Amino acid sequence: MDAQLKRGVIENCVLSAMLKGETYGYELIKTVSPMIEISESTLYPILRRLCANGYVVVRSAEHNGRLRKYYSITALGKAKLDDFLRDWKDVVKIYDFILKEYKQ
Amino acid sequence: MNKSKFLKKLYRKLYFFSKDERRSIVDYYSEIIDDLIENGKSEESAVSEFEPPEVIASNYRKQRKTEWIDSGKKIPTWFWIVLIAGSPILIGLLVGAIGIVFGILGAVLGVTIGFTVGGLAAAVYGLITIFTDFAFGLSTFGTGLFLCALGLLIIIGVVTLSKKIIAKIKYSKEINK
Repeated sequence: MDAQLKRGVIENCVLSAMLKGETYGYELIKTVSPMIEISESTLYPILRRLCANGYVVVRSAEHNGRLRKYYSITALGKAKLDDFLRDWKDVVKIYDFILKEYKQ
Repeated sequence: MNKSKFLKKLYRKLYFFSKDERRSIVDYYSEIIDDLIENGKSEESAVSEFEPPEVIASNYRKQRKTEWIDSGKKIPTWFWIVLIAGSPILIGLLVGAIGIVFGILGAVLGVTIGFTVGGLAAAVYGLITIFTDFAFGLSTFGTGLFLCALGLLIIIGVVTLSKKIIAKIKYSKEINK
């Protein structure tokens, strides 16, 4: 997959993994990795960027005597997911068109 | 590699990031290692899930230019202003400092050679005059030997110390590779 496209897709996968409620790094990887190949090292910059852009907020909380960072999606993040889903409807329409032309 | 060794190495390899960013990345990996351990992995195998610290760091370095928010270590503007405006004075100070170092080295070298050669000469002279003036000859011989030995000791000391310093520098370079 094209790197730019993959980045966008992973970003949205990560965002949607937060829809059920706040989550943490290790859990995010477990949730997202069956969908798309992702490693700890690719997740960090994505979370970093999502937080910096206001799509995600992070808080530290104690867990088993250590600190763990919990991420949750913001209203801005949800709006971004809406955009993504709407855009992809168009992409699918275009895809169907390309496929039809290609087969003829 | 154990967790603390991995995190320390990672922190060191991320030198091109700001201190906050380095801390934040290391905290992130630390948390995931702890979570892996909590889910039944051993410390070693949890750490071995990741690429080696140098690979992680070099990947982040490449990404930073295109898609990272953090622009890395920032050198404050005042630093450049001071550096440029103060350059005549700073260069003067630098030359002065080099002069002092060489001056001290020269003085140590001069004193050491003086002790060794002068002491040896005095000892020989004392040995010759010991037959004509026993007390003077003996004391000159003794003092000469003492000074010569002192000179040699300083030489041995300086050589050993330099060897140790060079070994230390080599060792720290080896570690940082």
